[in-house]
Amino acid sequence: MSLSPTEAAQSLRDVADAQKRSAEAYSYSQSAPYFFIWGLAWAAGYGGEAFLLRYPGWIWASVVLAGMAASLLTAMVQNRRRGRSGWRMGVLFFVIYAFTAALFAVMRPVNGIQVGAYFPLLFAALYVGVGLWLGLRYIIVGVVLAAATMCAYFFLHDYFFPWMAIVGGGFLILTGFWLRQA
Amino acid sequence: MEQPDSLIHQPVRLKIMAALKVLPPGEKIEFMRLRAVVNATEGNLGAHLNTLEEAGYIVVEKDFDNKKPRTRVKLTKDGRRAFEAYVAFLRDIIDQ
Repeated sequence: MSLSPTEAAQSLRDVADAQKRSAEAYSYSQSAPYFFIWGLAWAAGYGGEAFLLRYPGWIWASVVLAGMAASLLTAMVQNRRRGRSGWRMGVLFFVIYAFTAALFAVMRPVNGIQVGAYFPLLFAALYVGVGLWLGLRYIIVGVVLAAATMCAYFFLHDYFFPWMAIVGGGFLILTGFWLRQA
Repeated sequence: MEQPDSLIHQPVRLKIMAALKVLPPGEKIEFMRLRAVVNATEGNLGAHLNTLEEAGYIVVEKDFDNKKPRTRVKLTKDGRRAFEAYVAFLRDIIDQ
């Protein structure tokens, strides 16, 4: 068997293409559970803030802690299969918390809606950034999430929290299904 | 020049090996997802997987997930080494 340099180059391109598609599919399947978890968390958090109209701090503290616990458990199960720990997930949460605390110290939000818009916009930016390396679907998710948040902030101010619960949380849950099918 | 692995040389099998190699060691990929990645029909993919499994390059596992039959594939250590050797062979051709 002999191959020309042209044929060898084409084979290497086929290899690179197959590896890119496989890595994307793997990334999507691994991240799908987290979209389910945080979609439910957002639906509960924004929904609680919209309909209970009280104790937003306690609502979000409970929801975020539950989301973090579920995410850490998921990461541990996924990483145990690969023989690794899920410590990176814990560090990521700390980084997000520390960045948010520092940002709010420098640029203090004036109302709850600004805080409510900040987190979806932060994660939308992170999804787009991650998508540049890991796949187009993350970019699409980030753009749609940012658009939905900005639409609610500027045009649906009185309905911001119900909108974010249903559209934001629901969108993340649907994203989980979409990524699982990839 | 060392002779290339004729098993891996076949285009669909090369893509299968490439798709499996990029996964973390021990990780498996489901049959339908692999079919989409390598862009093959189910029958075609099944035939190539049989060939690779008989060579000891992959392991095909069949079980049930929520009562639905599931087929998953993973690379063996021999398969990993064979694929790496074949890619090195391709790069040698280009470098000459």
